[in-house]
Amino acid sequence: MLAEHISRGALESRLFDVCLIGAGPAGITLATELGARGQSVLLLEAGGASYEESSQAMYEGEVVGALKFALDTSRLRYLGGASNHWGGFCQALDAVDFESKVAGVDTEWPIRRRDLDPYLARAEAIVEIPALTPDRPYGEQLRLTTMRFSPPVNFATKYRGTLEKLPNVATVLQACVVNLHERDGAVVSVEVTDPDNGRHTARARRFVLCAGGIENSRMLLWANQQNGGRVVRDPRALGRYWLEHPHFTIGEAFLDERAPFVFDKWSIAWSSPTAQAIRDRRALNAGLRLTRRNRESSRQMIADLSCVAPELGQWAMAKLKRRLFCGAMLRASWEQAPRAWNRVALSTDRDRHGTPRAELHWRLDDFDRHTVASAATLLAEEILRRGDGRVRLDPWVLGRGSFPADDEIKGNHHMGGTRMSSSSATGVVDADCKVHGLSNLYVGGSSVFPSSGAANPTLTIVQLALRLADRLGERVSAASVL
Amino acid sequence: MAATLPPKPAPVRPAPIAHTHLDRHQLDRHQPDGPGRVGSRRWQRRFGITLAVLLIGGLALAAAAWLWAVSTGRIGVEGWRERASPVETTAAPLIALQARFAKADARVDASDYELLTTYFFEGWAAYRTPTAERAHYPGLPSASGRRSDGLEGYARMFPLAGAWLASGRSPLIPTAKGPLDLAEVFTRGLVTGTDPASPDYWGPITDYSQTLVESADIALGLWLARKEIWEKLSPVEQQQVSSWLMQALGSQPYDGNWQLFPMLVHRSLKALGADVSHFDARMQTNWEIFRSFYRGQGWFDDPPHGLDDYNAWSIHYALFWLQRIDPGFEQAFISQAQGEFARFYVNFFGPQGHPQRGRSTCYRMATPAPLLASLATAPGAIPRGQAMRALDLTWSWFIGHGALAAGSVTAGLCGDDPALQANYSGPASCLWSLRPLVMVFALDRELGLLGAAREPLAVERGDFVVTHETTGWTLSGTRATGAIDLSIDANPPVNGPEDGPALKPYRLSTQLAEALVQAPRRPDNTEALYRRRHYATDKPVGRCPP
Repeated sequence: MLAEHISRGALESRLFDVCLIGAGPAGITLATELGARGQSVLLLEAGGASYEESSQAMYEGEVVGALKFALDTSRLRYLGGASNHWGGFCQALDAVDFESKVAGVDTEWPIRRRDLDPYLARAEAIVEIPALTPDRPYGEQLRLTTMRFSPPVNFATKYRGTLEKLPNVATVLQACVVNLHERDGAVVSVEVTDPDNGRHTARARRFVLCAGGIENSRMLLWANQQNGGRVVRDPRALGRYWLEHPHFTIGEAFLDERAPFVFDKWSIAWSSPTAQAIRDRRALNAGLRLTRRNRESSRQMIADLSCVAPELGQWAMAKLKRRLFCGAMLRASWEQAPRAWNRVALSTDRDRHGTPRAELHWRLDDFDRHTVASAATLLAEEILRRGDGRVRLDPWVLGRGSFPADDEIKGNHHMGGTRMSSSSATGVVDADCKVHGLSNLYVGGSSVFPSSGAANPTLTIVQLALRLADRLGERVSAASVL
Repeated sequence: MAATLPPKPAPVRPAPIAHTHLDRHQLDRHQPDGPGRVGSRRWQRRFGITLAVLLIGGLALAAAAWLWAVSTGRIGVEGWRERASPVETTAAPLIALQARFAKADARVDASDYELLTTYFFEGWAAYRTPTAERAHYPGLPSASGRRSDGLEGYARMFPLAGAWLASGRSPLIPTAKGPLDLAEVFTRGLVTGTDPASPDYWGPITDYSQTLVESADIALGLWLARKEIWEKLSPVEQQQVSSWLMQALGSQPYDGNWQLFPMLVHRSLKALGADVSHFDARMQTNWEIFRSFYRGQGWFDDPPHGLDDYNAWSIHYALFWLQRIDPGFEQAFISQAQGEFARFYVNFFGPQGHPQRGRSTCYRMATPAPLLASLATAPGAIPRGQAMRALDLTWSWFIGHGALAAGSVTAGLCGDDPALQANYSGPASCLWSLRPLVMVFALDRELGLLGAAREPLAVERGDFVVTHETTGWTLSGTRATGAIDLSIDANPPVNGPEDGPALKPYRLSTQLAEALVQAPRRPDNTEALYRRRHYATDKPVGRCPP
């Protein structure tokens, strides 16, 4: 069933097996999975069935740092969550992404890719992407990768019917969770408000926060404050190690037609360093994107290039005359170094329910520059070595100047904040996505990523949700037996 | 033998050309002997004249454009050509100071430091604007412009005024123009500078701005003089001053010592009763980022230059005040860091000053600041008498070597030296040198500094060699000469008299370039200031007459 708003007393009357907070890709995947297994599920969505300005305004907040972006436009607060505006780009994390790569930069997950591999096929089916094309080597240190595209699947459109039909899944819209109530090491209920500020209580055996890469942290920080620190008992990592995939234009390339780059439907050819190159260069993972330009843009680019590098410009012009030649914009998105100071904090400003707004402290540092420069240099050198063209990198990539604030900056991939770790000192949830120190509170979504790799996160979010559904299923069965 | 000349050839007449369809220009080109043909004398003359006219016209046009651009302020830094004239102090004459601080082997006492401070106040009084919100000192301007340089003139004196007032000393300073009421005049400047409606407004505090730097000193001065100035402001004035300072809390600092500027403003405002809770989280983040630059034993990386004396006169100075204003702030860490820093750093000081290395040379007299700080934050780390001895010798040596002139601090090592004055430094920038004096007057009552018995420093007790783990530096001293040598093995070895890159001079061509662009183009001497193998007191990096 699906209710557009909370009916008075409706929540209080039942004890659900699982209460899911947030109806984005993680929450909806969990609801359908658990519902199909016969569990009673309450799925609470703070927004409505479609976009509303007043609901979206609840996401307003501030980014503290030199590189700014709007918190209320980089996510969506209604049924389906961010799947209402995602591009459908899908990649699985690389095996190396789960490991420590550089001393002093904590990228370690308490699980490995093999722990998520069993969920890959189902996740691929959910987001409707084709089978994986294996990477092709490009020199010894790079690989040409393939982006897989979801149509893109809108989780609200695709699963609303299922949610309505499943008799044991109650989906309630306009139900904003404003507090968790803890007793004896467990969450016993959540406090829910409706748009008219009416207060309701929902009870369940287990609770899963799936509210997104910022809201999960915000909710736990606020709940912890209201519960005297008893929700996340070791709060050292709470809200911290927040991550984005920085997105910047880093230069341009002129490519010979014989170069083995394959441009996809977005005119992008993808490449990344190999795991060995990542380790050797003491950097993190990166995704490089050669975005093809049309011939006229290429000519203009060469003209511009001739002003700053006449010889290179002459060479490019000669090539343009001799054979078909492609000018490409070189862009990158990469794995940001997890830093404790990149974090979600509670602002002194409050939303209309009285909950402190999010204040996102986020910055890039010299290690991030090292990561992108390392990958870009590899590509530039390999292209030159093979005679596949030439690459010019922007000065800031090579250390002259700061990150350009007028670029795309981020990918709207909000990760971290409630990171997964075997220790409560460095993480909020354990390898099963359960909050350290509590028996029945879980977190779903990309906020549990301890590190981000360079892959777009949605596929991994769905894999993790499927894995969490298995865990919750196991525990319900065990509880039933008892 | 007489030469026989060949017979003169008959003149060759050109064949007649049928040119009815040609215009004159084409005709000329087809008549090899025509009067205006290319290469003929007439053509050359015409060409030369045309070229000269064009050249002169072009130059005149360029000069006019340059003059117009300069006169309308369209090129160059603001106020580049406006320079203050030096004024000699009379109430605290330099010659008297030189005499008093020359007796370094005896002892410098409280009255000497009071005279020294009076010298600076008198200088400030001479250069301040009528509304006192700025002080325009003589010297080469910075790249930030005259108004910003003038703000430095206020901000960098304010903490000294605050400490002086808080110490219970008389607010009336004798000057050539009569007594200067420190509390009144700094209050006037503060109220004017923070008033957005005033033409003399200091301007907004923005990301990476000089106003952000200066706001820290202004906040500190205000906290020090809270009884004498802050509490006497009306509520409206307090709100105005708070609002101006609060802009610093939302502004982005560069990494390193800059990160402590908004923190100092934050803690000062909080201590003065302003509600700054909105900025608590970002200040905490700021602090965490700053802490990530900690290298150990009290040393912090200060990007992009790494380890240098900014640790002393900026970082430890700010940490000291943060802890002082908010005693609960990182007490254990600051205590340990300042204690460990002071234990090594005290060895830098001797009768020949200290080995000067790194940017902002003219802050040179501020180097003893962390030694004084440690007396309060890490008691016992170094003896009080040694910290004061280091302070005495620093001032004594530099006063004896041209560090003071015209009521201010010279912009160089031993006198003004544009080769050592960075483009970001203006005429008042070097007043950061006064920072240990701020500490002395603020701490004297509590720690009995000025009256303390001085104790000999390492180089005065004997020859020594100390190798420091974190920096990798080796410091050696020779008792007989008092010389101290800083050896940096990580720098490339060089065979030659300079021990590394030479100092680039401030050439006439540089001055011409500055005149043309109306902005500082002083040489970048980073290499000489950081990449030498040795920095020694008896072989200073800058120009320094014996």
